[in-house]
Amino acid sequence: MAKNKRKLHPAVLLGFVCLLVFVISLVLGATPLRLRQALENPYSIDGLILLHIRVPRVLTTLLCGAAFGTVGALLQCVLHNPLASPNVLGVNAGAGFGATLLMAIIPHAGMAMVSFAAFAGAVVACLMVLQISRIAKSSRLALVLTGVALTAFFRAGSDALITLFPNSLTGSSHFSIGGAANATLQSLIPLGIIVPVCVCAACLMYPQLDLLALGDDVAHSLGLNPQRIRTLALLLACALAASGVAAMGLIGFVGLMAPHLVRLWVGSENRLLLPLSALLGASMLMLCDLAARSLFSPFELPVGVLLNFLGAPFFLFVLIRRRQYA
Amino acid sequence: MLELLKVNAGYSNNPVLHSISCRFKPGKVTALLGRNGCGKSTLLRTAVGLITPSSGQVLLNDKPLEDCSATCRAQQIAFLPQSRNMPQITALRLVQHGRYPHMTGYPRRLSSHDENIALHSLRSVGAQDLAQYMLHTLSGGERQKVYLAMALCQQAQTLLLDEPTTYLDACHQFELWELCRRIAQEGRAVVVVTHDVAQALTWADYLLVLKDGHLAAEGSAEQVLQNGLLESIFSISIVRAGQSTYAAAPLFNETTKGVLTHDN
Repeated sequence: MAKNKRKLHPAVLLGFVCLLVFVISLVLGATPLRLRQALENPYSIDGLILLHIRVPRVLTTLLCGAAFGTVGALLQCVLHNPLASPNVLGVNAGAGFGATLLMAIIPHAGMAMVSFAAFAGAVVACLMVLQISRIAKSSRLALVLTGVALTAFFRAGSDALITLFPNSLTGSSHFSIGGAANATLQSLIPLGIIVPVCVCAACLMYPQLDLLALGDDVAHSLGLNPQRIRTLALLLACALAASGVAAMGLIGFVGLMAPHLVRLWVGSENRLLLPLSALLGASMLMLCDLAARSLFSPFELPVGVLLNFLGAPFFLFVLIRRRQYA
Repeated sequence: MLELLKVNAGYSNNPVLHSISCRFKPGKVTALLGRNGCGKSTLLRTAVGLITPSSGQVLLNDKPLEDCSATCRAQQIAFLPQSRNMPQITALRLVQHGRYPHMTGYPRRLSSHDENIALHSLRSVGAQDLAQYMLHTLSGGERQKVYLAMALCQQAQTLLLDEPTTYLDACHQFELWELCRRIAQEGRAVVVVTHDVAQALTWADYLLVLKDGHLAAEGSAEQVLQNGLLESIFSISIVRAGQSTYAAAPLFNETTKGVLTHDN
């Protein structure tokens, strides 16, 4: 007798994977935790490590991963470019420059101020990408080259600030490599508000984003205002990229890899693509962070370094695979 | 009915259309002819509201187009541009996007009525077998049909098609013209930009001929051919190859006359 097999919804499957990676990330690390003991007695060593080290760190990587995954999906959709992602386009570098500039001027600025400065930097970078790509007729290569130039420009700006204000920017090398080792419960607050709100807002825009993916002329013909939707989507992308960069530094390639893998799995309809990119981005970053702190324990490899090792070949893979659409 | 009144339009410092007045009549297939760069696509883009005229007016059912909401405009005018994106979705899903202007509320779910119209549109262009294929796996001609089905699915009173015969082989080009006629017979206005003069003369009910952004001639095939303007614009010779059937050949080669014959 044939069995009536029910297919598990991709969101349920990926949600379960994300939860599993979250729990494993809480338990494993330089000091393996006894979760039951930590939960039963919050003032035990296990409890204190869980509350003050693991929870802030894992939640930060989860939220940042979700943010970068969503930003990648949004940028690839609104710019009609499979190579678009916040680090490739220089949006992350812009956010990093904004945050570095603020930390140089106000050394003891709070997380909220740093996030806002990063947002301003991301918006400037985004506007520059849009403007330059428009002048260069929006070709895919032009967009990527614009990103390369902007990344170099903003990184040079950040390096200049670090050289000129060495005392104010003591933690800047950690910031430019990227990682969540400095995450605290307090630093989680702006991230915990901005990321879920912006990810939900982006997911709710799926019908409009689906039309935008058809091209501006077709979208207009179907009754959409493409410019308004693109601006809104880019603002959300800037807010998400800025929150991620302010919390974890210049993390690369999650925004490129997560949407691509999801697209290979479920296609490019934004109803699934956006939430699944967020879930996969979160799972990937948590997993990379876990690997980064476990592989060479007790030494810790910055998660940004590990992601660059994985991301760079993936970028080349996408470039070669997509050459027929260029 | 969609109408242009003394429209001047173009791109920033480059005026393309000069004092164009025309109307796209319901129940008629209108062909828009002219040499490359004469402003055919600009005219369609202005008519659908993608370009704002620097002077003159575009009227939709006697109301200025800018006074109509985007949804109202999309319910009345469907536009199929020359170049389009290729998202990784199925052909059926693309066609279903054509129902967007008719869906209300959030998140604009398709009703069974909308789904039936999408399937019917695919069938009417002969692409029902392609429904579940991913768009990027289809050939250029198949993709063209699917995009056309999306425009049909919009059920607009006026259909503006910018070079819809591109990528189609000869047989499918004739099928497309036949389809345009069927749509026009339902009382809708169909406007087709084409470079094939013989096809336009053979299949269209009404012709608009553009020259350097000016409306050089308009009328039926007989009327447009009367003063020889079409032949001088395109540097071709046009001959009647049968009843309501025309053929075009280059002026420099008399022996090739009649090569591009289309029997109606």
